[in-house]
Amino acid sequence: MKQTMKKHILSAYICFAAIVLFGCKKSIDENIRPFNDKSDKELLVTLDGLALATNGNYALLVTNSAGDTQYAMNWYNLAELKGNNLLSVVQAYPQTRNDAYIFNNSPSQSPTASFWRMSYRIVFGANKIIDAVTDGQGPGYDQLKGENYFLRALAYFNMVRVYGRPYYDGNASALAVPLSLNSLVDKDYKPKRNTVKEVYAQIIADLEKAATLMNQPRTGNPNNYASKEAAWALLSRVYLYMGGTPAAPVNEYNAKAVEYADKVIASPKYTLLQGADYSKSFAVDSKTNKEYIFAFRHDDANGNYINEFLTPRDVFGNPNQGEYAASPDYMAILNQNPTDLRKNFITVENDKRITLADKSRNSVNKFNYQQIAPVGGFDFSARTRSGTPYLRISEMYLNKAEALAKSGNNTDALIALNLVRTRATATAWTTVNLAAANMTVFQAVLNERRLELAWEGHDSYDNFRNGLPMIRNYTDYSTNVPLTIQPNDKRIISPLPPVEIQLNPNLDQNPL
Amino acid sequence: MTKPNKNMNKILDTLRVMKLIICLLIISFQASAVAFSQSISLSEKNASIESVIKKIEKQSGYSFFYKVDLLRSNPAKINLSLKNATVDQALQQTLGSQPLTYVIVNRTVIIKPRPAVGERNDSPEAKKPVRGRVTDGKGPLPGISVKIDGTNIVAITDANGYFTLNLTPGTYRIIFSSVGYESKRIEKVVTEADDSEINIVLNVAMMQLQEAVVVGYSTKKASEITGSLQTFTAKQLEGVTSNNLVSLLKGKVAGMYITEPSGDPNNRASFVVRGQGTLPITGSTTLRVSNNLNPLIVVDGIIYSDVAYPSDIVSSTDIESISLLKDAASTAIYGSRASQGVLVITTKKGVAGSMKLDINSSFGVSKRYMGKIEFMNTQELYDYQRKMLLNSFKLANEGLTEDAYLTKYLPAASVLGTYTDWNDKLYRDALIKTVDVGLSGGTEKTRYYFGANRYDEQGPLKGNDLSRNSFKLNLDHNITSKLSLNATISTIFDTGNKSPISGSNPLNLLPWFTLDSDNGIPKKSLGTDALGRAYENPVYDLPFNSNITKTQQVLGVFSAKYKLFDWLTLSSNNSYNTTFINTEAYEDRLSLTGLADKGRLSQRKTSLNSFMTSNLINARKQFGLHTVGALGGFEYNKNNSEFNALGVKNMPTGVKVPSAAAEVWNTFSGKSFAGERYVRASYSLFSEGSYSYDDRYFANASYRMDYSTNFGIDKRDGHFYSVSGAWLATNEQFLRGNKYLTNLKLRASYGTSGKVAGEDFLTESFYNFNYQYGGDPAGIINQLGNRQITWERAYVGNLGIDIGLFNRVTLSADFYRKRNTDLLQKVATASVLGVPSQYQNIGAMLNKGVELVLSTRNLTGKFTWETGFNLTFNKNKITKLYNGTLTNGYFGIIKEGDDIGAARTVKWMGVNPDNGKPQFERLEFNAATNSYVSKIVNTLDEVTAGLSGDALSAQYQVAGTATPKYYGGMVNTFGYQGFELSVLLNFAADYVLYNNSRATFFASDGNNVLRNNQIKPAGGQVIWEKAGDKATEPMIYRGRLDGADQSTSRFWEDASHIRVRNVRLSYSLPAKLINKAKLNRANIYLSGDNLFIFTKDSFNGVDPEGTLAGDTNNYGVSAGYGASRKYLLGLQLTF
Repeated sequence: MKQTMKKHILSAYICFAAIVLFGCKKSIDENIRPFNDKSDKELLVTLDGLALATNGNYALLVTNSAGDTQYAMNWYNLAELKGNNLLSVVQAYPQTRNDAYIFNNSPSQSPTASFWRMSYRIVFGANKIIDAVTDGQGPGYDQLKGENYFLRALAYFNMVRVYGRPYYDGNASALAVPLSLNSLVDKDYKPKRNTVKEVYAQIIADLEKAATLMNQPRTGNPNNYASKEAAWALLSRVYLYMGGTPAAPVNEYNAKAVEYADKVIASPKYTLLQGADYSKSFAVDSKTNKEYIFAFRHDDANGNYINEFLTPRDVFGNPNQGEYAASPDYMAILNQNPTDLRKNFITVENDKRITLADKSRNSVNKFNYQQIAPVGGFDFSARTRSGTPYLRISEMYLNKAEALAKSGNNTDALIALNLVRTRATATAWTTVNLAAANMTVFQAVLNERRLELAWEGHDSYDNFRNGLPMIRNYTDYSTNVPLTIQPNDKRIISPLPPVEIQLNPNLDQNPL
Repeated sequence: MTKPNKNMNKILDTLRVMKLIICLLIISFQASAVAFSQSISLSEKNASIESVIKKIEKQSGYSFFYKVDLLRSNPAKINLSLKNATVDQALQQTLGSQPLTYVIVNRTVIIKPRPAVGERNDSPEAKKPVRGRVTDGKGPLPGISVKIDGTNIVAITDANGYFTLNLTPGTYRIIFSSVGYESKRIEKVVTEADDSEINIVLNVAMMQLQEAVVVGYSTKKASEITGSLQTFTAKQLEGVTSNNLVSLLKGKVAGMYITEPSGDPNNRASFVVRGQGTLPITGSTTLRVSNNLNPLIVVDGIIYSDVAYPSDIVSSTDIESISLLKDAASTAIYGSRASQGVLVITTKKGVAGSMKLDINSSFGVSKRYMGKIEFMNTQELYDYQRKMLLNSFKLANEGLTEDAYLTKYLPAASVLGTYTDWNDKLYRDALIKTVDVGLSGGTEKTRYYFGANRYDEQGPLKGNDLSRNSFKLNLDHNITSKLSLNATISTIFDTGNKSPISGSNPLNLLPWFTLDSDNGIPKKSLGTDALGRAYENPVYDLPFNSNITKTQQVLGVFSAKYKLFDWLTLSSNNSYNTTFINTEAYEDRLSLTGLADKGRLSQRKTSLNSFMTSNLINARKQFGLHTVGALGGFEYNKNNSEFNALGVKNMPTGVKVPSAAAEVWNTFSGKSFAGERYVRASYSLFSEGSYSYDDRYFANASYRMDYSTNFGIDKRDGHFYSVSGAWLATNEQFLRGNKYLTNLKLRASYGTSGKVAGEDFLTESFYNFNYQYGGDPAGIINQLGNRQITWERAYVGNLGIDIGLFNRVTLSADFYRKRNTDLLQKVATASVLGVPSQYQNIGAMLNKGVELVLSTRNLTGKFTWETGFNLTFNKNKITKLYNGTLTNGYFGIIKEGDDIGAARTVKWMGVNPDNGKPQFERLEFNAATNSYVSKIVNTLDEVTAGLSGDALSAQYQVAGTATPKYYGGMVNTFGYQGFELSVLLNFAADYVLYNNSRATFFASDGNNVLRNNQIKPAGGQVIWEKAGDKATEPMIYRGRLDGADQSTSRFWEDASHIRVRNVRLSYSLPAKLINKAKLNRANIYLSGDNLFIFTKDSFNGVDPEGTLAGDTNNYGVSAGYGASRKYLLGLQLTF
């Protein structure tokens, strides 16, 4: 072969290489994009994308993600188990599940780590959309933005209750949680904790903004999404929490609580369900339930875990669940009215794991709607499709009643209270029978909150925010003596997850 | 005085020539591209012999060897005219009239002086041809010099190892010699009647291993190597029985820490080269991120960047040789994926010559190795529970009397009559069967290798199996003298079975449970423990259920090589690899686990394919004593991956197809289906230059640019380089031929390589849609973009020395310093960032170490004894962490200055002898003295109570390091008359292992004592019983909340050990016997793996095999399913 020929081959080879390489670069830069994910810049520019991302923020309420357990379950654990509506029947397993119940407040063994992380993921997810939408872009856009303001407020309100002292305590000057309100954060962002007052102010601002923005209500399953009424309902509760103790009420806020409760009550969307409809109201699809203002939706992918705490699945006596039953104290109040419809939420059954001679327990079957895994298997999960009730219409009447009672308007308070009471076919309270029972209207309202809103995450707060102790006048599996927690006890709030303090040294720990 | 010297020089000259011949032969086989031309046309007038020979050399394509003086000093002028003559004819014409003669071996011509007439005093008629054959015990050895001692009569073996000597009857001493092999000397009596063949086996001389080594993109002679690497041939890999190549290297390779903590044959060894220099990315989807602690794998020139284990891509029986490239001199050319080293594998190829057939087969059993662990029997556990309950009763009596309390929690006394050893019920003597066949041969033009392999291994745990069928066909064809092609097709079919043994902790079920009911029918439920938990029969599901992973892989490689000029070659390597993985978990409706769903099935089908093209220009030219080499190339690589999964339930028994199911099974995060896919691509440009002077001085430099989808669009290219040099002192005049110092070489290198994160597009924030709410899809931010992210880089410096002494001892020592910067990690971010984690460059790490590889031949007579020893010291230090500390999953917190394997945990301070309470150390900061003061507390929560920041993290003290400070192995091989005994030991020392089973098997919480059978206290363990007891373990009681059962330094145990990894006794049948069966080799062996482990008394687990930081695959064994003990009988035949 001639030398020149060879040179041609060589130069052809080099040309070929150059062309291929140019093609490779182009192919890598332009043609290869992720299949499974979409970047924020791509997603948050269309209404559809914003809806997807907003749906993701709702999903965070009910999803196990990135090693963290479900927000709904942890919120429930931290809120409900510090109250006196439940009795621990057997050893919780894993033991972390009774951390809140026994007021152990172990920084390492309580569910706060997951709760904290998921809370801020909701906040960040909401911030992304709040920052991506300009006000007035269109009713669809505004609705989504408003929903995200609502979700942010919800996340902060739950956090401020878990980590911050009650509002009345020390003029709301105690530390709560850091307020992160911006979607442009980088890894050096290490904020300090804001005060309880600052967090409440932000929650109110967010909810008010949310209420003005949400003008295109969801159709189909409106109860599973935020709405103008949901924002008002939460405002009513937030103001109620700010309304001081019965001894030192802050009537300005109580009036606000009543005002917002009335706004929701005026809405035709919600009614106090009556009779059989009410008895099974938690065991129907949450989206059609006219009792609900806002409930977290649970489906097969994001089942409701609350049943794991409340109902035993006694196939093989597995101790992982059904650790708690309705407390004797609660049952005593409930049994005062033999016709009370709320007895339908209790099933008396035997639990062979109970160490006492009497093995009967009062299981809470309120949320036992369509178990996801079949009974009888080795999958001990007792997840259901019951919604997690977060805001209900009956709470609005009770908010109103409490706020009025604290402000001294017992007459109107009784009217609101008795609407809830008679709906449950319990005897209405009158000044006469209240006097006979040696109770104030305020105490009657608080008792009714216990009965009506039991196991929905209110119980402990209703005592502590009013400066009242949480009293368990019974013993249980874990203790031999009845337990009383005073409202000034450091244990009423949870410690911050130690890992967060490691990652952000600007966070101060709660007293341990 | 002068005569012996002359003779000596002659011998040396001959040896030198032979050496070159062998090198060239091997290289030419390796390259398998040099073709030869038969036609020589020449027309010369008054030319010097030298110039004519050179012309013939050029035209023929043959390699010529001669002493330059020999031709130059010859004054003859040659006249000749040739047309289309053969090489033989041309040489005949050129040299026929000269005092010179020549030999052609394969395609090499050796020119030498014609023996003086006086030396050929025997008449040809009286001579008798003596035939023979030289092998290495396995295959023929071509090019071996066969010389009659004291004469100039020499023969060279042909491609099949055969030689013929024409000798008159008499007694001769024949010397067989070749570079790279030990010389052998025999006495032979030649008689008229004798027709016997001489069969000689030559052993590889490890001192002078001059084999061609595949280094990066080029093949080099061992002498030319400037970097640090270790090479193994197929023979050297023999020993342990495993289908995992990495397991075969354990104990033999220096600088590679290998840990294989499971007896499950499906479980893979984890390995790191020269200390862990990188952090495994934790918490990612397996589809996208492979375990990227491992070295890069290169097989026959193709990079498999997404393959984590060599056994995934090549069957170990097809491996010809394997090189581990350790330092930047060799790895930098692989650029962005090579910071953990490179494993270069060369597979078997055909050799021109007669057909060769190898058949190897082995058969054996594998048993569970229990180490020191011994479980209690019924009586022992009963007594132990009783003691524990009495302790518990004193603390909380539940309002019962002591008797009532004991009755409640103790089993009925009737259980004392039954005892089940669960180890017997769950484990078995498992079978191992292997067969592999290799067929190779071919002609000068076309060569082939065909390999077939079947590997069957059962794990000792019932229902745990692995089998592999693999085939490989390798074809080389020379189209012309310039153009050659290679095509390889290989397939691997693996089937792995996970055991359906199910239920909670079947390994330590209570000993009074029994499997069969009174009428012999297996029970479904074994019964309940005192706490009411029910236990199902762990083996009930065995006949019904399966969990099978099938991997099918087809790999095609097509390469072409074109020799443009003598000094310039173009080549192209193209591979397409497709892998299909099907994982199918089936639970029958009759089984316990499938009962509730009336039978269920989940399938996950993954398909992966990758395309890679690698194109090279390779030049090499010699200018006198200078040799210059250069290569340039580019590569493009694209990987596609995809999986789909589905779940169904309610199906008839035994019908494992989705269409037989009546319902969907929402098993994938609440859905009955799942699926993902990705594509990634990269291209690279690279070049390398090499220079050597007179085989004494060597220098190398390389550069590579990688461009990939890994980071964002503005951070896609990474640049890597290396420089290295070597001095071969024994080639200097003053050392040449030194009898004592046979080899001395110094090497030095420095360079960089990189590592990618494994996931792509890291500069962008991403919403992932694997979620739903309210029946609609939902997007959640899973990745927070990091605009500053960049490549992880390793800067590696290496100094090496190779020493050979007396032809009996070789020692290689390497000193390295590997600095890894910009370590990539998926970091748990502070929650306020709103995403759980982010990819960040978080720090830097330093590994310093020494590797020693020593080989000695202690005895060389009839009884031979050889020793191979390797030892690696490695010291790791995290030199920089941008946030000061790193939370690393399993290991907890790591701080700047720590070893990456540092186990930081609360310090256990033993047991209070007065009350049996656990003691922990709390360090309290004393501002006055600026130091921490130790304080003993009795609960774990008290250790951290009220602390935050530095004061909190100070409580987590280093309990040790989870990777050994030093490790290595020793193999001793003894030979006597065909018998060979080899003993391989490996050791690792100075490290700790978390005994992850002590919480259940050796429990501190009494509830676990009621639930699980317990290990007997051993090795100085004393459980506290009464005041004054000097106990190591606290008082045991129920419902403990003091943290004694939580992870503290208490459970980190010293795992230093020596393992008898393999003992192998083999016997090669004598040549006389096997020749009749047309066999070239017949070898029978007995082999035992994992025969014994020596550990410290304080180690209380089954197996002290260690772990790597953050490796979620393997985190140590301690008391689980450790590496099994295997006994095998094997047979190796070569036809």
